[in-house]
Amino acid sequence: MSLRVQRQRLQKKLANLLEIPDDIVLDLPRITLLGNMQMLIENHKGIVEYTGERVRVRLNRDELLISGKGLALGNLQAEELIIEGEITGLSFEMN
Amino acid sequence: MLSFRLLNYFHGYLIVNISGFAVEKLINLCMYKEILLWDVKYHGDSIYTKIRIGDFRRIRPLIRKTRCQMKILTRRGLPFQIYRMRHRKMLIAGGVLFCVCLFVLSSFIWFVEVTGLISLPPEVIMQAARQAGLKPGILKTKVDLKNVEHRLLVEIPDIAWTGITLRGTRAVIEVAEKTTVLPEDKSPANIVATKDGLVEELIALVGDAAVRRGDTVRKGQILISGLIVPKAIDPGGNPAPVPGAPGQMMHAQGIVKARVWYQAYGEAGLVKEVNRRTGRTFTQVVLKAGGMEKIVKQGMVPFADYEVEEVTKSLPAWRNNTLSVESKIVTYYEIEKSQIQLTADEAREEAKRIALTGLQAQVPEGVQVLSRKVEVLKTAETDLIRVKAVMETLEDIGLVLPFHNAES
Repeated sequence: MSLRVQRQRLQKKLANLLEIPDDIVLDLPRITLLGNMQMLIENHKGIVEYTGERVRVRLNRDELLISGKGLALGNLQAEELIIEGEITGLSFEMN
Repeated sequence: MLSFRLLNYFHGYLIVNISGFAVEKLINLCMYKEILLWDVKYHGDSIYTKIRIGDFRRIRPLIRKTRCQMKILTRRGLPFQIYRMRHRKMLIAGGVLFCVCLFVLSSFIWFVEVTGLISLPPEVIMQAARQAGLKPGILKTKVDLKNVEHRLLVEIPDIAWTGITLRGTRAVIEVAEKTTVLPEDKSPANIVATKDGLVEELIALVGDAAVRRGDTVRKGQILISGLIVPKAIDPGGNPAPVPGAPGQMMHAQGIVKARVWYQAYGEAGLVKEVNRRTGRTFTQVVLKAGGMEKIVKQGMVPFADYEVEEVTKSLPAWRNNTLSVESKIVTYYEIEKSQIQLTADEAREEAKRIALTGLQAQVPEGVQVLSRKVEVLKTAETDLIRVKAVMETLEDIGLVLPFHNAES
C-alpha cells in the first residue's frame, strides 16, 4: 500500500471523526450536473484541453474528461467553472 | 444571472476572438490572474469569449506570452454607448432641452378654474383673482395663495370662503357663496286667480277677501285685495265701506283653493295607419369641424318613406375644447305604410288614451284630483270614435300680483 493511499485513509477517518465534509479535508472537486446541459465544477485546477466536443479539466489528482456537442465555458473563475452544452460522457482519468 | 448581466452592461465588455496553439493555457492563466472570461465558445479552431474592458488591458501580456492572436469583434455596454453618443451632440442637447422645458413650463400656472359657484358668474372671481395676482402664465412662486384668498374674500362680499389649490399647472379656486336671505316683499299686492274655478276654501291672512266660498272666479280676478278700506257696520248689520275714507295698501297674503276643471278630447278611426320598418337602412356620415359640415358618404336616400335617426359622436370634453370636431351618423330606415282595421273597443281605448294624455299635459303636477270622467261622444260618423275626458282637481289658484303690474 502506497504512502499516499495510507495518508488519504487517515485523513478520511479524521474527517469523519470531526464531522467535516470530505471534499474540504481531501481537497476534492464538487461537481454538480444539471441534466446533461450544465455542469458546475468547484475546486478545479485548470483546463487542459478545450474544444467544442471535448473538455479536459485538471482536478486534484486526476483529470475529468467531458465529451459532448457544442460545449461552451460559461463562467471561468479560479475556484469554479461552468460547462454548458450537450454533455454525452464523463470519465475520470488517472494521471 | 440578471444582475450579473446588468453589471457587465454597466462595466462594458468586448466580444473577442482568440486563436492560437495554447488557448487552454491562456484560459488557465486568466483564471489564475482573476481575469473573468464568460460565454466561451469554441468555433473553427478558435474561441470566442466575452471580457470586461478593465480586464482587456491585463490580458494583453498573457496573449503575448502564450503566443495567441486576439481580435476584437464587438464592443458592448454602457461606456461604449456613451462614447458613441459623444458624436451626436444635438441628441444630447435635445434631451437636456426637453428636461429644461418640462421643468420651466411646469413651474408656471397655465390654467385658472373656479368651482363651487351657484349664482355668481365665474368671470367675477377670475377678474378679482387676476387683480390679486393669480392669472394664467405667472410663476408659481410669485403667487401668494393665502394673500389671493384673502383679497378675494375682501373684494367679493358675496363669497363666504375660498380656497386655492395648485394641481400641476392648474390653479383651482374653490368658492363657497354666502346664502343671503331675500328680504320679504312688502310692496302692495293683490292675490289674483291663475285659472277659472269654483272657490272651495279661502283664507285671507293679510288683505280683504274679495270672493266667498262657492263663488265662481275667472282667470285674473282679484281674490284677496291688498287695498283695505275701513268699514263700518251699516244699519242692516253688514259691514260696508266707509265712503270717503282713504284705503290702506297692503301686501296681500292668503290661501285660495278652488275646484278646477280640465278637459281633453281624443279621437280614433277604425282604420289605423301603421309605419313598420322593413329592415333596409341607409347611412350617411357627416363630419363637423368648426361650423362646417362635410358629408363623407354621398348619395341620395333610396327610399320613398323613411324615418331618420341621428347619432352624434364628439371628442370627450377636454380642457378648453374650443376646436370641436364631431361626426354625425345619420341612419335612414325604410318604412312600409300599412293599414290595420280596429274593432270598436280598440278604437275607443285608443281615443281614451289620446284624451287622457292630453289631459295629463294640462294638469300641473302634485295637485289633488277629485274626479276623472271619460265620456264617449255620440256622433253620426261610424268610422270615427270621439272621446272627451274631464278631470276635476282641487288646487291653489292664488298668485301674488303687485299693484303696478296690474295697472300695466
